Amino acid sequence: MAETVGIWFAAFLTLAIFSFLYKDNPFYKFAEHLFTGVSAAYWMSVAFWSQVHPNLFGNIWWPEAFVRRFLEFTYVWVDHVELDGQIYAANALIDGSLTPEMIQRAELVNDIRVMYYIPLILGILFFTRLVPKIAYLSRWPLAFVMGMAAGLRLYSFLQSNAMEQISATIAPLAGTPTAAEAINNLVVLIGVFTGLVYFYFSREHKGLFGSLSRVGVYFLMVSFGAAFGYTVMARVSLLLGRFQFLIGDWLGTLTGAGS
Amino acid sequence: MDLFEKISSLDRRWIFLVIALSILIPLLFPFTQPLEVSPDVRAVYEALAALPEGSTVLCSFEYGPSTLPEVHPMARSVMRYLFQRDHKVIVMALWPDGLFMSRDILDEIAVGEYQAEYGVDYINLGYKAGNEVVIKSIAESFSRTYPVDTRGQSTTSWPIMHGIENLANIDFIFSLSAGYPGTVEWVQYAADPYNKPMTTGCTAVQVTEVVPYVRSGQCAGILGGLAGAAEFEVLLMEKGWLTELGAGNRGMAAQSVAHLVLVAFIIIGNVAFYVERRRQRKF
Repeated sequence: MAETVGIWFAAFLTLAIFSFLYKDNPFYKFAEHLFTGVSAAYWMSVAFWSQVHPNLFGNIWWPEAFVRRFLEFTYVWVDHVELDGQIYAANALIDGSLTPEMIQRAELVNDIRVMYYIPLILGILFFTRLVPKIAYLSRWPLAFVMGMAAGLRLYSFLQSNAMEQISATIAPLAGTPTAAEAINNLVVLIGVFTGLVYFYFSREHKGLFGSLSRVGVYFLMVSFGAAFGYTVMARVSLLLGRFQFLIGDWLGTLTGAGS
Repeated sequence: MDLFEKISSLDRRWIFLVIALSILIPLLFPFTQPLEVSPDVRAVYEALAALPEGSTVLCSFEYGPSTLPEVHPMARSVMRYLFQRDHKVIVMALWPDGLFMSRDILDEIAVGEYQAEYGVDYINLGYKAGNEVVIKSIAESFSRTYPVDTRGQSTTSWPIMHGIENLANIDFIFSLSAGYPGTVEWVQYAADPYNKPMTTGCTAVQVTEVVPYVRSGQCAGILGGLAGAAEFEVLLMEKGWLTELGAGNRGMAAQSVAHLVLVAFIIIGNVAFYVERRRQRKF
């Protein structure tokens, strides 16, 4: 029953969104606002419980009195629990091995997690942008993020996007297994060279240089065309998916053929 | 007002209606069309076929409900092939929604069709936040990155994870991708630095982004969008791994008609534009 209601509501929202193609209307507005609100709430919840909580709040050291106050979160705040000489896993409260009363008597063993206060402080510093007098402090966490991201990505980008791609571009024009392969390699060479010429702005694009640049533009247009074609294909696939839902799942509930 | 003027001032809602009908009619009255398998799709099959039976394959789900119509059909085909060849399948997700997609596919294929045993034939490690950092992290240790699986049990307690310490113990990577983080990150942080063979099934939008890695040999082939999924189904059927074509081919008939209609609109629109422009120059 609940699934059928869900399918009907999904079908209503799908048709409400489609109705915009005729003209703007209250059904579309309702569906649009609902989608925006639910998306914002969903992603905020996902971001908090999958990123902030397990990576920060779940690892940070909390005063024992605080942990005992909120026992339902014991499993993320402590490493393990010791009671009557026995060691229990941190999620003992959840799996039923320990009752809340037993945990109140137990010793909550927690590694020193003071290190996690560093990202906590850096995170809080982001919000100093809201106070103009100390807004400059927000640059510190930003500098950390920039440095970390650059360090993490530089090597990978250099290897995968620069070295490997350059290596793949330098392909033989003669002695290939087939003539088609040689022609293909020649096209790649001309495309890369003229494309680079187009993006060289230190010299005016006229004469031979301008002609090469124009050839580069044609190659770019072909690549944009391919990207556009694939995008259209993707969008048609999504429309197809919605129609399959309407015909299969929604109309299926009417005829009894669907889920 | 002559024909070309009418076309130039055509209400766009007629175009929407014709596109909708071009998809709806083939769905209501389905037909199959011959598909030629492209070299890129063949390369995906050959890369998977080169794996000895019982290999450990890491499947990463990086898509959500919005791209389900494109990627789900190829995920089904890939899983069917992997389980038929008795490969060990380790599933993970770099997108939060990827977890639900992987559960859906595993329930349908692993449990429903092949009665595969959880923890022995396959395992679902679930979603982990961190994007490419997760890839770097499993390159060092699976158990530290994923202490527990989606069932809340220690990952090291399952037989399938015995001997799987990090990425070095994985034989092949299959990325089912719809954006960032996805195939590009798997190439950059796993395939290239650790020399791991990998391939991808991705959305059509991503194809032009991923194809350079395919051409350079960093990624073995590509299943691009619904067309890629349909071609892969055809190829698996040719090779005897599938008994009937799946959702990829069911959608391709409608997709092809819609494409023809779009091409027709582009040609008609351009002809009308040039005729109108020529007339304006004359006067």
